[in-house]
Amino acid sequence: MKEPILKTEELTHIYSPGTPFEMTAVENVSIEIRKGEILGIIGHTGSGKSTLIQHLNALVKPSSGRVLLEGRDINESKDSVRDARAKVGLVFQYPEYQLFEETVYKDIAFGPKNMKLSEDEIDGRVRRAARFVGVEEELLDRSPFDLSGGQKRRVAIAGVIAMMPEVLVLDEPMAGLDPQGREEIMKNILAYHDETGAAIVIVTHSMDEAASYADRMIVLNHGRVAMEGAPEEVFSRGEELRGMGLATPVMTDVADKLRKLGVELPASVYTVEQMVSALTALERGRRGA
Amino acid sequence: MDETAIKIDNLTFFYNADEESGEAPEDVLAGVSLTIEAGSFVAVLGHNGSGKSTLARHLNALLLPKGGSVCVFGMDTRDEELTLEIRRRVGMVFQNPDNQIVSNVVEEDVAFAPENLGVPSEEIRKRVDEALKMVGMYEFRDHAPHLLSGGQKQRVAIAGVLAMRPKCVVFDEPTAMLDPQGRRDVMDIIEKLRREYGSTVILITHHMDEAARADRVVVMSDGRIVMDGAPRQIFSRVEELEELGLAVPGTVRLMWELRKKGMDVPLTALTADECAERLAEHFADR
Amino acid sequence: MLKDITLGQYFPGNTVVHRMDPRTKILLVIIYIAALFVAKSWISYAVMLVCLTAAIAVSRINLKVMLKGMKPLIFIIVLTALLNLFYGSGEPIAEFWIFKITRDGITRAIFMASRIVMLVMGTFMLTYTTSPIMLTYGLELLLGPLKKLKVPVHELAMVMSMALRLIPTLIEETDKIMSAQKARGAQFDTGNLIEKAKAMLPILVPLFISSFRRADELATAMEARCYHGGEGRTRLNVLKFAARDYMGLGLGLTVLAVVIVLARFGL
Repeated sequence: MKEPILKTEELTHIYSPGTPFEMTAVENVSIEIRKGEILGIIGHTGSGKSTLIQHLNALVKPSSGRVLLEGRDINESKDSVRDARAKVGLVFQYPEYQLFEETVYKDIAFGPKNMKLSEDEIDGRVRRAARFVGVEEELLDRSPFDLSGGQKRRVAIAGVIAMMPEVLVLDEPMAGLDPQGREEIMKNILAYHDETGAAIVIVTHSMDEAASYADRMIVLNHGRVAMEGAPEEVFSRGEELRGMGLATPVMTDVADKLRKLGVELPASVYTVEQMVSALTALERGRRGA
Repeated sequence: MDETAIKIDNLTFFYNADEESGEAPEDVLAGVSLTIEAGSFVAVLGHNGSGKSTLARHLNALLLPKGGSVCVFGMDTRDEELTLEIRRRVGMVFQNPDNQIVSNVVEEDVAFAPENLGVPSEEIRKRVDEALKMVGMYEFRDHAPHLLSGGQKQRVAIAGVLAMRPKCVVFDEPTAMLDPQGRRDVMDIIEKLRREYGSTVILITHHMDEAARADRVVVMSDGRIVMDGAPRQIFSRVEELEELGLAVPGTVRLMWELRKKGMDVPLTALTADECAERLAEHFADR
Repeated sequence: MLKDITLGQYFPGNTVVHRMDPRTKILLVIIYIAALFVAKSWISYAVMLVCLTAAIAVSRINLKVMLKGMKPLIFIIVLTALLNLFYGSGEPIAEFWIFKITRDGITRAIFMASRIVMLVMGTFMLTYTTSPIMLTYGLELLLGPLKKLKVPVHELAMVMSMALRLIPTLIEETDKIMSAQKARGAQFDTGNLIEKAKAMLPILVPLFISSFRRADELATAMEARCYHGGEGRTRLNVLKFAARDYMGLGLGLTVLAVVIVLARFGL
């Protein structure tokens, strides 16, 4: 097992404590993010996932519990906070709405500039980040507001990638895009993962998407960790997932139904590819017999 | 039912180019013709920028044709005298629930359209209650919309449209910003709308599983209609759809892959249940 | 956090005060303010305070919430009290450097501070117990006669209710943008004034752009729902004066009369 880079210990967060609006968003959550893994965090709206991820780079301080980055409490001092912001990149939902500079180049450079890097270093990072997300050089001098929706999204993600985080956390990175746009963004994120070995955390409510890339998954419900494990373990608990207002991947539904109809399938079938190989194996067996 | 709800004839549209660039404006809609029967459920598919939302906005005179014509229940959208009547008949639900709610109280928001139409107060009350019950948000009638979830807000927005008693409702990517529960709720309301009111429904979407529930699927690309037919027919054209930047439902994709491997299974299965049943039949054979 | 702002917020309820016609409440607040400015003596203030306390008690507004809402105004209240404290006339009780404190000064300071506190609490009562829609509707009706003078009353009321509708959304949005820019290492609390102002750009630019987009989408949605100005518009809830409104107004006017009479007698 890979060693953890980021951990939360019995993290609890309460909004507006002591008022009529008091609400516990996250309760007693202990999770770890391991070096180089792709982790899917799943939960319906209001399950506490947005609050949880804002703890990971000290944007929100825990009401109780700790967040440890490489073993050090990130809320310990101003320095540790700055360090966490640089090492844990956070891409919010609809990040294109946070673009503000005159040119794409300047917008991507905002993060590295705040890190007080040298001009050369900044330039290198901007170009590298742009390459990761497939933004061509000639777009760098354009205004970000002249780009298409999908391009804006990619520029915004590049703005975080340019900080070269060791953990890249993305909240619903594909929301509102068409199938082609979704695929492209996912490719960009995986390229960053493969080339730098950074850990990737993707927050989503799309099981089908989580099924196709996650090494490990955490399911949140009512601010607590409800399930944790490899995708096949999580998806094998379809009824519970549906009870939490989540959808199971379509292939899990097909597999469940097939088993009920007497077709024997291996346990871990939750993507189209897995289903195809399972069924073709079955077909070969049948023809051979 | 053979009444025509919407008749679009060779519609062209472009946004006026800005003066500085001096470039000729590009057609967003390049000659669209489409007839929709009253009471039918039509899904319009297309990638971002295919012109599907622009088409939607012509259906209730939010945009007017630059060429060709749009007729709604026999009314030409270019006739300004008829604009209000057209908008009353053709309700529209938009993508972002936050940006279509006008009031700080749920029931007052739902009342907005009938108020604009000058409906008497007692009648407004009746319509508001009915619409809120229809979408399952009656208990929330005195809540503040900004404290509701995205799915709940979208249901309020739908109630606000239903309070006009429209004959036809156009949904412009109503689930794009919602979680699975919110999406299910909106799709259930669409079914209920058809079952109980016999409304004509036009659903703009890029979720294939949603389109699969329609009677008819229209696919757009570059401002033109490129495919038009029953969902089963459309989704069997896997390669063409993918060339257009669209995916097919996971179940269809599975069948297609299996056929490529030489298995003799039917190509289209639109739901998980149907897919499993067809596969089980295949393996039970002989 | 910005979300915690309670200034001008509405707390739904079903008390007599909540159900009162917004026009009555607006008029009562005007009467109340007038009385506060006429009041000159401890007795008048005591009368007013009893009225205010009764209204708060009946409306079941949490006193803690109300006091929390006063927080942003503490500076102004303290400043006013201090100014009055040092500019009283008569024999000084204590003196240091150029300041002298007199009995008159102390009295004036207390009067002015209580006047502001009571003024603010009274107006809070209006916004805490009246939904913004009802408030603007009430204003629209009260200002109705101005339509004859070609004042666009409906439009103004609509602008106001749209603003009230968008405030919570924009506050939420500002929070989100701030967090996003902080995640990119932005700092808003360091440097001199110019640097601080510059640091606000990454928040203000996206906020403006998104406000325009929202306004545009909202306008389209309103048009799609047949909005065409105030002409021929009806209302879900029609405002009608009920017994409680006549009672409330009667009571308000009586208190005003009492305070005026008391002031006449120099009390």
